[in-house]
Amino acid sequence: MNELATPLEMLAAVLAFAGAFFFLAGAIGFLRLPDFYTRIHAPTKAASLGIPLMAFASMLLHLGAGFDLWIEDALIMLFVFLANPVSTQMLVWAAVARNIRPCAETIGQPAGDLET
Amino acid sequence: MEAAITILYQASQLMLIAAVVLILYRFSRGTSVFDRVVAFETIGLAVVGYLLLESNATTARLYTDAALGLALFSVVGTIFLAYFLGRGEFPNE
Repeated sequence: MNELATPLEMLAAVLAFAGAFFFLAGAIGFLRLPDFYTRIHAPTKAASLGIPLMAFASMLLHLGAGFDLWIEDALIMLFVFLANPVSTQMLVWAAVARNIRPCAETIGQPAGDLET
Repeated sequence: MEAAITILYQASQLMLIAAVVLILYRFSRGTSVFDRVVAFETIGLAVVGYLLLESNATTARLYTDAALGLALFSVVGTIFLAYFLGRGEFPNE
């Protein structure tokens, strides 16, 4: 129990801490930003960076211990990193289609060529 | 396992719990159904992160299966909710 930690375990712990920190920052942004379109970007971007960081830390530990379980961590990483931006984009398209109002500061700003 | 690593994992888990509390406040305030959908997805992903941290800290291997399944259900469920919302399926509040 009192043995010294290997550098791999230290690296995994620091990566997992960074992921949890991004997650907390995203939650604070989700709480404080004024309207839906500014509010959705904080937790979704933070989650699609934070979950792969934590899964990568778990993958490093499993690879170092010689378990085959690192494949599942790699699957979590790949899946969240690919599918979370897709669900965010679909939510914003649906919100534009249903006329959710943006806040007063962003009304009249160009929204790009958004087609729904 | 050195003491610093244990403290680091516990701090990470506390940060995730604080994030879930903040997201639950936004879930109850809402102001549109889309905020509630985003809160639902983000709480699911926070639980995934908590399970991954728990599996790192205790070297219990079964948590990873649960994390994979929960990540899959959370994100795919949000994609289908967005699909039905875009078709005008639920009221706006």
